[in-house]
Formats: sequence, C-alpha cells, structure tokens
Amino acid sequence: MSKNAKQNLADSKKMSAELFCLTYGSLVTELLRDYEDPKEVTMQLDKMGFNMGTRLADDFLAKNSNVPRCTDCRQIAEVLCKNAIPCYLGTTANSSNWVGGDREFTIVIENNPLNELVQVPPNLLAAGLSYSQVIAGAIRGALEAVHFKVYATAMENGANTEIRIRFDSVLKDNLPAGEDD
Amino acid sequence: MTIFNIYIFDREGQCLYYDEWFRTKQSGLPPIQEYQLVFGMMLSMKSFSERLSTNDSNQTVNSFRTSAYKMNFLESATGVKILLNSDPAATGMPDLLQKIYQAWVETVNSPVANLLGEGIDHGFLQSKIRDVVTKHPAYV
Repeated sequence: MSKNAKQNLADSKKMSAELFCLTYGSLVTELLRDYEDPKEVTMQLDKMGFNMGTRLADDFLAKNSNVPRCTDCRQIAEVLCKNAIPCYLGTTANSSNWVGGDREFTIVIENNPLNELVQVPPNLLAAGLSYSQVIAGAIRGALEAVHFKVYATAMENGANTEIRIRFDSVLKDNLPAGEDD
Repeated sequence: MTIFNIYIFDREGQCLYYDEWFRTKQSGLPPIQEYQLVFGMMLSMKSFSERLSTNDSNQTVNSFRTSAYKMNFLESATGVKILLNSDPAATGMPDLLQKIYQAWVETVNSPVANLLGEGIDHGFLQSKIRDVVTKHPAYV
C-alpha cells in the first residue's frame, strides 16, 4: 500500500493497476490467515486505511491548492467524488442516498480497482469481511486530518463499491496549554 | 527585496522547521520562546480577525505588514502552519508558501521518509526548502 501512496507522491511513474490489485489481494489473504476472523481483518484494513488517509490529506491539499475549504457534507462529497477519488484510485465516483439532513451519504465507486481480478468468497463476506474497507478507512483518516469526524464503511455491490459515510462532528484544533480562544 | 526567515509549525504548535537568510538582528530570546511567541501571535490574529469579521464567511489571515517586513501566513486545512517573513514589497508570496508546503509534504509526508523511522530527514527537507526559496524572484 505504501508503494501506491509513493507512486501518487512521485507522480512521475504509474503503478500497474493489476499489480496493485493483486498485491492488495495477497495482503488481505495474509491478514485472513493471521487473524482468522474476517471482522478483525476488516478492522485492520480500516486502521491501515486511516493511517494512509491522514498522510494523503496533506498530499492532496499540496497538489490541489484550488480546492476550497468545505463547510458542509455536500461539499465534502463533491470534493471526494470529483477530486480525491479520481486522483488516487483513477476511477469515478458519485454520491447518493442522502439522509438525516445531509449528514449521511453513500459514495458509489465505479470499477473499484481493488475489486478487479478478485472474487471474494461469499462466506467471508457473510462473516463480516469488508474487502475494500481500506478505502473507507482512508476517507475517514483524510477527513479527520481536516477536522471532520466521520464514520465510513465499505460494502461490495457487484461491480461497484459503496462507501457509506456518516458525519459525526467538526473537531476543534487543540490549543497549546495556557491559551484560550 | 529579500526573504528573511521561515517557521513551519504542526497542528499542535510545535516548530518543525526554522531557517533564516538575511536576518541581521536576532530577537534575543531563546529559539523555543521565539517560536512560541510567533505561533501564539498567529493564533491570536486568527481569533481576533474571526471576532471582528463583518460576515460569516470562512476567512483566513494571509499576512500582516510593517514598514520593515511582511509576515506571510499559510495554514493548510490539516493544520500545518507556515510563516514567512519577507520584504514588505515582495510579491508572489502565496505561491511561494504553497511551493514550500508541497516541498514539506514531499519530504516529511512521503512513505520513503517514514520508512527510515519516525524522525524527519532534516537535511533533505532543508535542501528542498532552501532550493525553493532561493529560486524565488523575491529572494535577492
């Protein structure tokens, strides 16, 4: 995974989508072997994604200085779909299913590169494995870096991957001791 | 025209990087205390300008200027703050700050830098930032 992030940073070289996809597949297989519990694997993927996301946020902002500061979920969804996901996954995405006063929405990633060439056994999915949770984790991490606390879960849906995002709160910058606003 | 010095702070207010070029007069304070003062001033300016803002729009403080220097700010959405002191007449500072931010992200944030351990490769970062700054037209 770090290879993928490195490619994005370097920008000069592109990594083969097949290689990336198969490397990710073997990573998940390895995790399944290590943890034996698909739910635990989902949690680990989420954690890995989160750590990637916190770094990607800075990378994304450095490359896209024209992206405005988001003030609501509609804007967040638009930046994710129009800028961030095409930039890092090389595919398109759309937001839909808005509920709860725009606090909860779904991002549908078409042709998720992680899912190409991969067939996840249905029994693992039923046991709680969320194969593309790393993407959801990365979104959660990146948004947390820009002070938005969200919950994100990934669901496979045929050729598409759905990321359900629920907005929780806006985080405050912690001030150094002795300072009050 | 010239560029005097630069401070980079993380979101907790820790000074990650400091460098200077034509700074002929020192503040006379221990460096740590100077960083704290600079960071505190930026926080105060931010909250001050938010309080006195005449509308609700999302605003940022970009710079302040005296007869002798101009202090330019850049705060990324992730909370990284870059402060750069330049000649009051220097132009193109927002672009330069953005380039410095990019250089910082490429060196500090890259997986290559982090494979070697938690520490930042200070020399690499320094050469990158010096390169960006000395190539800028305002640096003479």
